[in-house]
Amino acid sequence: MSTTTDIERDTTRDVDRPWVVIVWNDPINLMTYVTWVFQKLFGYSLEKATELMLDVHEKGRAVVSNGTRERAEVDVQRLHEHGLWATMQRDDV
Amino acid sequence: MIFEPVDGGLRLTIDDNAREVVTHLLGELRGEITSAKHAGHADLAPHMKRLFPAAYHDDEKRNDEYRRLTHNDLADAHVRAIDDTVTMLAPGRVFHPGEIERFVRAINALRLVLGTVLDVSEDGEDEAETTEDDKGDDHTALQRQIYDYLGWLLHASVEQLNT
Repeated sequence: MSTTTDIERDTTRDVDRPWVVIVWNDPINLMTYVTWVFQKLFGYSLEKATELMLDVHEKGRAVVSNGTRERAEVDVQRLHEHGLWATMQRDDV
Repeated sequence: MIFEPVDGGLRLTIDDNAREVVTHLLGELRGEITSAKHAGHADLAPHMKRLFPAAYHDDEKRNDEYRRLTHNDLADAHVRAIDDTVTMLAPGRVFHPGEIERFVRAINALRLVLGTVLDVSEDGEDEAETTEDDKGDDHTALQRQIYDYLGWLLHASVEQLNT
C-alpha cells in the first residue's frame, strides 16, 4: 500500500520536473567558441554566455536550458551540430 | 583580422598553402562523416564518436532512440558545413558575414576530431607540452601544428562574428 503511494508520488514528481540541458567541460573546444555558441543558440547576452562558459570550464558543467523533453532534445541536437558535448536529464541538478 | 572587408562582403586572407591543407583535411573529414552516417555508433572510431555524442548521460536505451532519430541529420549538418566551408576557402572568394557561422562550425569539427586523435587533455595547456617522443614523430608534430593553426583560425573567425 505504502509502496503504491510512493510510486504514485514519484511518478507525479517526474511529470512535474522539467528537463535540463547540460553542457560538459571539453578539453578541446575554445572558450570563445563556446561563448559564441551559447549566445547564438539561446540568445544569451555576452555576460550570461560567458558566465555559463566559465561554469562549464571551472565546474565541469552548466545547465544552459530547460523545458519539455522535446525542447531539450532540440537544444541538445543543435549543440551537437556545433560540436559541444551536451546531454539532457530530468531536473535534479 | 583574417577577414578583410571588400565590395560585397568579406574575404579570407590566409595564405594559399593554409587553404590547401585545411581544404584537404576537410575533404578527408567529409569522407569519414559520410561513412559514419551508414555505420552504427558502436562501430565508429573514437575520434568520430566525438562528432556524434550521447544525448543522455546514463541511459543507453534512450541514447539508441535519440541516435536513430538524429544520427543522419547530424551527419548531414556536418557535411553541409564542410561543403560550404570548402567553397569559402577558394582563393578570392567573397562571402557574406553570415556564412562565417558555417565556417566556424566546420573548422571546429575538424579541430575536435584532430584534438581527439592527439588526445588533447586541456585546452591551451596541452599544446605547449611537446614530449621527447613527439619531437621524434614528425607526423604527430605536424598534426599538433595544424591543431594549433585551426585554434588560431577558429578564434579569429569567432572574433569576426563578434564584431
